[in-house]
Amino acid sequence: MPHLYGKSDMLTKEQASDTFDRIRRFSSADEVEAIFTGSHFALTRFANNTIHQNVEEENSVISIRTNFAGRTARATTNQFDDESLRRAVEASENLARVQAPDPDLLPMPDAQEADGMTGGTPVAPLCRSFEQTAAITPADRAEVVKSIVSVAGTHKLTTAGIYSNSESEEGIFNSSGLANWHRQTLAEISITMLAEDSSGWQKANSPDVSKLDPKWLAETAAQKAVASAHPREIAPGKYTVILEPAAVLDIVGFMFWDFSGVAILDQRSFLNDRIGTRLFGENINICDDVAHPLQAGLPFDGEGMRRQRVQLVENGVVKRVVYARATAEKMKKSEYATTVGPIEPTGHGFPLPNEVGEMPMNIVFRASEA
Amino acid sequence: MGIRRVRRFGPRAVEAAAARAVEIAKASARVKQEDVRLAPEPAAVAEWTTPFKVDPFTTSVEQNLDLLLRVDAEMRAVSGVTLAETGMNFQREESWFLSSEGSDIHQTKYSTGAGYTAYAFAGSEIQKRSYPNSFGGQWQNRGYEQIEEMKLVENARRVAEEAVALHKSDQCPEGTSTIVLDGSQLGLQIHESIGHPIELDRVLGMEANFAGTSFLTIEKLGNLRYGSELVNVVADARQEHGPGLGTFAYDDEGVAAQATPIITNGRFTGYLSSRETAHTIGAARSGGTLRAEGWNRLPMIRMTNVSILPGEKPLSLEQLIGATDDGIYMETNKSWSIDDKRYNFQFGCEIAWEIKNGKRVRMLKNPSYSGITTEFWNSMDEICSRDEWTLWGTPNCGKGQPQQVVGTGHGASPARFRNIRVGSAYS
Repeated sequence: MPHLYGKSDMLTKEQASDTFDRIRRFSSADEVEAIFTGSHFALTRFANNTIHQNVEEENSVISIRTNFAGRTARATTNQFDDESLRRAVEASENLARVQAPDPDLLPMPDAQEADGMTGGTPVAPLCRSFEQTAAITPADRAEVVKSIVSVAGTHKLTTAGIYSNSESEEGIFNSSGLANWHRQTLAEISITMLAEDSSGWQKANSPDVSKLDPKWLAETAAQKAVASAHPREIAPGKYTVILEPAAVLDIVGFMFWDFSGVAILDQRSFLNDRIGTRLFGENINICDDVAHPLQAGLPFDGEGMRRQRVQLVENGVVKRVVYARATAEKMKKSEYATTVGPIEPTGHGFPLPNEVGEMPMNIVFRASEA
Repeated sequence: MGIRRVRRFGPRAVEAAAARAVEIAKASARVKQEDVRLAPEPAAVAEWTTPFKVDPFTTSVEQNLDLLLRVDAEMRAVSGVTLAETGMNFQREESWFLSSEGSDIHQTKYSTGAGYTAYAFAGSEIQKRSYPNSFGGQWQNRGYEQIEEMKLVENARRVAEEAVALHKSDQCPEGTSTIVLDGSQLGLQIHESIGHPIELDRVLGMEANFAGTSFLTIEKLGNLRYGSELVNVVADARQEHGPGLGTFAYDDEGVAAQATPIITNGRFTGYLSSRETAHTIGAARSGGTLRAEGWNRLPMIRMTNVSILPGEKPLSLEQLIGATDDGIYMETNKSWSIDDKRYNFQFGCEIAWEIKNGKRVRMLKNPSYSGITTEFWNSMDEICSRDEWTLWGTPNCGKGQPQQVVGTGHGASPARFRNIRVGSAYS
């Protein structure tokens, strides 16, 4: 079966490992880390019942972090020849050397620590790479768009949207022996149907394109546009509203930046002094779970720590937040240590250095069982 | 249209990318209503670099860290400050545009930005103050001289003290009021309620699935009273407008930078256009606004420097406040919200002062205002003059699928608006 670009030239874990060996030879730092990201991405965009943008991209990037006695910095390149790697290592080291020492910076984790063998319950490795998704061609996408336009025509509507597919890989290696690798595919369809004075929208994505049903998505968006035709104005005020899941996420999505240990320590979270209290309705249960079958994403974080399933809210009560390694260490020594619930690295840290620490990224609301 | 992007430059990789682009374009042609029509444009051969006095990349990291740490120390010296954030950003972007029509354009753009924020957490409330603007500070297409002129250290303590003082100030009242907006907030108001709705791709529905559409349907061109007689807005990418984030010599389809009158004495007179969209408004030539985030993105219509022109009669901010009997002066954006047609909006600011009989009489916290785009701009009855005009930079404008983030410029002076709904966000 042909790949996204006719022939796959995605980086393998073995090639990345060899590249990391070269990086280590070029570096004089106490510790070295490299994050590899690569993707083949294609997107067909349509509007006014016409394909008006159609793009494909192939790119691989390597980001190098070096540590010198509590000082760390990062440099990034998308060229993998020796000279480019040497330059990126040198840039990272030069930046690291002029930093003030960071007392919270930890040594890089080894494989045992990163895999959660020292505590917590890590999620199992995930299989999220599907050949059928990677093999979608521009002509395949055009045919799907044609079927969506056909639905629009049936309902006398105008449609706009996207159909994209990608295969990507991400890996992290460090000089403590850590070597994590993840490969996944993703297909996404997003459709807007426009009528004279109304519109409807529907979107779905999945690593497995066979899980997407373009016709159903198009019909659903069309039905929403038809059902909301001729809207009338209502006065501003307080109403009971029912929101579809995507609208709920739009409203609450930004809230999850605050379910972070650093946000608590920085006193910029709405959860300051509120963990353990009921802030939501009793029927609200929220967890972060990268392994949920409807989720996508990496099973490890920006330092390579394996991601854990974390119950954030239970029966409306905020139970805990997520942690990067250094945040957990700092929280344990802080004045909040006894009031914020369990404190341990949960595999939600961003690549270092960064100022925001961590956040949950695979939010799952559990339906009420009442 | 088909685009194929690769990071390798070898002849075989380039040939393969070109062949794939052709294949993609042919696939696009399977679902179309009419052919693409590009407005003619003469081939250009040019070399251009952002004018600057000091190349920011010749300054040392140590020097810049030292400056930021001095700002940090000033803010954290204020009792009640619980978090201080500072940042500095330099970018150099080199691009080559070559077309089968004969264009060969090499541009090197520099941009420089810096800013900081002091946060104060107390009780159950967080207050913050930023300088010289929120969300990354002030950005322009200039060199390091931008940093040297910003008086970063000199303003740090005042800003931090204001963040703490907000906790003791009164809540912005809810109701209808005269408001005076500082230039940075007016810049964002322009961005959201003028800059986005005049993007012709939005008007034509091309962004309907993501960024949204526009209330400015084409029959409104030349007919709509967008604002009061004092409202004069241009989209100007030329260097003579200033070193904005939307300043360049040529856009990313080889069209020379231009100045387009957008609102003239209150009347709606122009859109942001491209070669593909120009014919839809009867224009013979693109307005030169097509830009891409980088080598791996498709250029699309983006704001250049969409600026409101200053008032012609001399008027400072203090004179404007002095001439206001009863109102609220609001400074520095804290939040923004506007619908997908860019018609119904609400903004929050970091700080405000109540004005009584021409004087600031008390500080107000959590100020917000809301309105309808055309009603709002028609309520503007004063705007300060050139001395108060600043070309603000918005470095984080997102649009398109896949999403692209580019910088835009917005020149503005403080201005006054009558009968504005205030305080609803916190009521």
